Amino acid sequence: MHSEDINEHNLWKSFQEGDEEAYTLIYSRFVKTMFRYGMSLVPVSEAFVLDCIHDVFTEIWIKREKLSVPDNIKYYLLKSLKTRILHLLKRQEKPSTSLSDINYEDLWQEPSAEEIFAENEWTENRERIIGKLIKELPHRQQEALRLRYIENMDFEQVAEMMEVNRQSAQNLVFRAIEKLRNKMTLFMVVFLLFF
Amino acid sequence: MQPDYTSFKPMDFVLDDMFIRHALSPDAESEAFWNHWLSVNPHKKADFEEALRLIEAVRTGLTDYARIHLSEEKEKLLLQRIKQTNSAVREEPVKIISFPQRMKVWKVAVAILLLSGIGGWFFNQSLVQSRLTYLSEISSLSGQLIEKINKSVMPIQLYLPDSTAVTLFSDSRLTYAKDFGLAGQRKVVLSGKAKFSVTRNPDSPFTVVSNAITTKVLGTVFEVNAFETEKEVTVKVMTGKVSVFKNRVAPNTTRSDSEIEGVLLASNQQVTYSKAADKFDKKLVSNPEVLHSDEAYSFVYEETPVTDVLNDLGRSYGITIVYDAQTLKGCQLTASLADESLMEKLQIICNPIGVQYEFVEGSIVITGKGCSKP
Repeated sequence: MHSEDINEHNLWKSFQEGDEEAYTLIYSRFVKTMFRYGMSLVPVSEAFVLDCIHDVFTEIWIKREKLSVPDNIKYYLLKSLKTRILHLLKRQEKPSTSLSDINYEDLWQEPSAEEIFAENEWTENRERIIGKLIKELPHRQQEALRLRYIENMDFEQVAEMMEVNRQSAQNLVFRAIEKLRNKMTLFMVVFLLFF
Repeated sequence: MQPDYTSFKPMDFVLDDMFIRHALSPDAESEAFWNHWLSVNPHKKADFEEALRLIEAVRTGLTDYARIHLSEEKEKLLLQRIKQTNSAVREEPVKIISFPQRMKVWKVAVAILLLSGIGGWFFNQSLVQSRLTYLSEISSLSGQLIEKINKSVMPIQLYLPDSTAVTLFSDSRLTYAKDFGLAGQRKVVLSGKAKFSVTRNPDSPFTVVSNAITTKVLGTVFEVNAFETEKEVTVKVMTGKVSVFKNRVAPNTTRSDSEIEGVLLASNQQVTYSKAADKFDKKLVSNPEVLHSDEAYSFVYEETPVTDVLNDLGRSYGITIVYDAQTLKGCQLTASLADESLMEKLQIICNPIGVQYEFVEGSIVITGKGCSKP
């Protein structure tokens, strides 16, 4: 783990000195991750996300001498991408639908496990079932789960990305997983009742 | 500082950074640690493994996300686009380390023009213009100058001579005179973004000069976002009242605060000034916060008339909420709005009774059929 960090540091420093190869390497290493994270933030389109990635990379090139070395390049790039996306979305002046407002939990729109069951989906495999349950979670809970368990950011970084404190970030994840657990249990109970 | 893992339940492991790192990307060090810990605490094996299962289940459910794919071709095209943009904007950054008071503005301006070169001139024009503006704004401060620059990624905290707290964000700089506060004037020049928590002093107005606009306050908490490279400048007010007006840039003269066109901002309001359009656009901040006051609101309601709820909201956030009392007559709310943001509160109030809320220049307007039944 440590040698990886040192390599990253050197890579970044080279890029800061104007080394185009290092810059391109950083791009290749992280663009896919940036793309999937950008696409997961709703409501955006592929062209928009690519534009924002373009903006992040052109901006860091211009400012390369003024930047400091981040502890974690992936976190730095994802955070920059999110900032850029939010910034452009806010400019479109739709305050009631901007990303930072979609943390409203649907109090009365969650389908129950019975409803999912009734739709004849009990034959689907586990991946799709859990996947479906996760997609029904509030957006911010989904984002917290992605950042912690797929992008492997620690809670301090997740908190920064979501602009809350560390405890709130953990709460988001906690609530999400508890909800999943409860639904899975309910699922199994209903499943068993029919067999 | 390590937590006491022996008291952990599965969910505790699932929320622990060190455990998660081991689950997702184990290395020799973490293997050694956890294997040892398990051998010393065999009774925790069940909880340990359930936690691993939970994490694995979550990751399974996120495969759709993990699989979002960017094709090789699109990746290459994007890189080409980026390189094209980079070569079009050939910029020579001007480093201002310390700004000697006696230097005339026009001398520095000539230097900037020479540095940017012919090819880059057209693209850099507005940037150079902003830099000239910044330099002329600094030259309006007298005496020895103190400059704070934040080149790091994280915001830094600093204090002005009058104890005003400033959070200076990334890539920003703040300049003020050494005799700050004397002669009943507290003036700073900002390039970038900063949040101010100004010490109250009605005898000495606090002024922030930044990239085309000046913000003047008596004692309050607000944020100014004024990057030279941005086409817009935004001022956000958390608490208090602030007036924002345009600068008149007159190089080589002692500038006085020409208060031409201005906007008055109250708590939870913000204004964005567009330099191109030369317009102020005032609205609510995106995440309004309850004002600190002596009255504590619990926001728990039981069969409470909605009009009362809206009045509470208006008072607690310091925002005007406009509604038609007739339309809302007979509407009641039973709910706890306690930990919800303002937007969420409004949704919870409006959705069940079939009305909508709209933002109009910093106020909220409620429209719709309501629930008055004949």
